[in-house]
Amino acid sequence: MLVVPFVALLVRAPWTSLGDILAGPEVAAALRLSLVCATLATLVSVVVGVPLAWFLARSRSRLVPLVRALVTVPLVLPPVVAGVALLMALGRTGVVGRLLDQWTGITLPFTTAGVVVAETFVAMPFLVISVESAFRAADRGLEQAARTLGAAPLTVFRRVTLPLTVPALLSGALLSWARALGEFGATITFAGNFPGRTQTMPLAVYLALESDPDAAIALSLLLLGVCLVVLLCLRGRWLGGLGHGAAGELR
Amino acid sequence: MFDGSVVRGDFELALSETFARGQVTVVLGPNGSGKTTLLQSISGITALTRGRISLGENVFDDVERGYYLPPEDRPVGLVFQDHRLFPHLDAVDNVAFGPRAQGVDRAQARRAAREWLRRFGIESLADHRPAQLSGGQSQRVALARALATTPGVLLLDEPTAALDVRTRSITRTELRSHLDQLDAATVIVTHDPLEAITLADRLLVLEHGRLTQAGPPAEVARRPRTDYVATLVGLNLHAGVLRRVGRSTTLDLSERGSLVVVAPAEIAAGHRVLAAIRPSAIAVHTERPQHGSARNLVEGSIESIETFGDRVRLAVDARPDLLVDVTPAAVAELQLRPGSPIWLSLKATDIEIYPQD
Repeated sequence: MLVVPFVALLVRAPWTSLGDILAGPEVAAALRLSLVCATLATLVSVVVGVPLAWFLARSRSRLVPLVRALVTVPLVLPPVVAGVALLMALGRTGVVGRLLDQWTGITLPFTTAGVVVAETFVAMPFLVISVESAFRAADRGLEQAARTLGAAPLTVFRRVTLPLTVPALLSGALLSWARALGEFGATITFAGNFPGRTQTMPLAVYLALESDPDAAIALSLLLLGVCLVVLLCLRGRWLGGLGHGAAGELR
Repeated sequence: MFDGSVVRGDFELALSETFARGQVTVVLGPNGSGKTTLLQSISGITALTRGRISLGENVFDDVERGYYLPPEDRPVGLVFQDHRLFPHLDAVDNVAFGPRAQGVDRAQARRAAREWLRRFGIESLADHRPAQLSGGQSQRVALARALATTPGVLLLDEPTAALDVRTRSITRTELRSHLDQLDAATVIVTHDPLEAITLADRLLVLEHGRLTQAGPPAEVARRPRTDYVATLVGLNLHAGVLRRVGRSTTLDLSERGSLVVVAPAEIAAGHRVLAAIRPSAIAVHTERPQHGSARNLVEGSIESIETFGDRVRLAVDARPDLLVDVTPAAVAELQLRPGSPIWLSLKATDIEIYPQD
C-alpha cells in the first residue's frame, strides 16, 4: 500500500524526456523559489522557534499550556484553513495587515515574502516540538556545574544548553524544511500562484498535472528525490551521527 | 564560615561551622542527612533560609540583609558525585571552561587547562570526550576543572562513590596528595567511613540535618556519639549513668543491665556517659566461666550470625545487647547457632568511657 504510489510514479515517468523537462526555465525557477523559501522559512522558524521552545520547556508561567496548544495548532489544521486565516490576519484588509500596510507600505499576500510566512506558519511547530523536548531533557546538572564554574546564565545557555540541543535542533530544522518544501495549501491560498514569484514546486506540479502530465510526473520525481535525501540525512542522525564527530555523539 | 539553615519541606539542615583554609573537613552522614544540601548552599545552587555564609570578607549569602551571591560569582569549586563533565567538550575544553567563563582568552585558558591535566597525569587524554574516559580519569578531569578556577573553597560530593572498588582506593590516595598541596578550604561529603577517615583533617557527622559529632577522625572513630557512627566504625555503643560505690565503678544502663567499668577520675558519679566496646574484646563461653579476671559476665542468646571477611559477628540478645566478633574456628568448635544460649565475658579495661556531652 505504502510503496505502490511511488512505484507507479517511477513506472509512469517519462524517462526519455525527463532531462528536457527538468532543464526548462520554469522548472528551474520553481525549484529555486522552493529551496530559497523553504530555507528562509526554516531560518525564521529557528530564530522564533528556539526562544519559544525555551519558554515552553523552562517557564513556569501559566500561559505555557495555552502557548503550547497554539504552537501545535498548525500541525493539525488543514493547510488551506491556515492560508485563509493568514489572509484574514495579514491580508491588505486583515487585522494586522491593514496596519502593516498603513505604517510601512508592506503587503505580504501574493508575494515571495508571503510564501515564506505561509511556510513558516505550517513548518515551525515541527522545530518547536523537537527543540522543546531537547531543552526539557537537557541535563540541569550540567547547567548547575557550569554555573559553579563561573558562567552566568546566558553563557550557560550559549556554551552548554544550546550545544547539547544541537542534534534536536538539526533534526527539527530538517523536518520543518521538508514540511516547508512540500507546503501547498497555505501557500496557494495566502500567496497565490505566480510563476517566478510565488509558484513553488508543489504548485507547479499541481498546475502541470492539468496541462502536461509528463511534466507533473517529472517534477514529482524531483521533489521525491529531495525528500529521500532529507530522510536519509535524518536516518543517519537517528543511527548516531550526521557524520564524523558530529552532533550524534551527544545525548 | 557557615552559620545558617536550609529548609526544604519537612527537612531542615542547620549548621554552624568554620571551615579552615588548607584543611580538609569531611562531612559524614547517611543518605538524607543534608550533606548534599550543605554543598549546594555553599556553592549557591540553593539559597539559605536563615543565616549567613562567608569566606573571609567575602559574603556569599546573608538572609538577614537580603544578600545572595549567585553561584557564578562565588570562588567555590564543586566536584559533583557524577562528575558532570560537558559531553560536547573534550577534556581540555572541560577544564578550560571555568577560566573561559571568567574572561580568560581561549588560547591562554587551554594552555592552563593542559597544565592542569599534566599535573593530574592525564595530559594524553586532552582531546578525549567524557564518553571516552574511564571513571577514574573522568574524576581527575572533574577535579582539574574545579581547581582550574583557583577556588577559595573546594567542595567534593562523594568523590569516589561513582568509581569501582579498585579505582576507589587509588583515587583516594591521589586525592589526599592533591588536597595536601591545596590552600583552599576543602569540604568533602561522603557516607563512606573509610573515605572519611583517610581524607579528613577534621570530621563532622551529620544526621537528620544536625551535627551530631565533630572532631579529629581518630577521636570520632574511637569515641562515637551516635548509633550511626558506632555502626560505621563497628563498635558497640551504650549510654548510661556512671555509679561509684566504694572502689568499684559501674555503668548503670537501667533496664538494660549494668557493666563494671574503669572511668577517668574527672567524670563524677551520676554523670551521663557513653561506653564504646570493640566487638573483638568480648569473649564467648558456652557455660558460665569460673575464676576469670574479666569483671563482666553477661548471659544471653545468639540472635544472628554474620560473616565479615575473616571474622564472624554475633549479635547477642542480652543485658545489654552486644555485637561480638569471633573466629570461624570458634563458631565451629563451640557449635554456635542462632538461638544458642551463651555467656559473654568482658574486661572492665576494654570499655571506653567518655562523657555524653
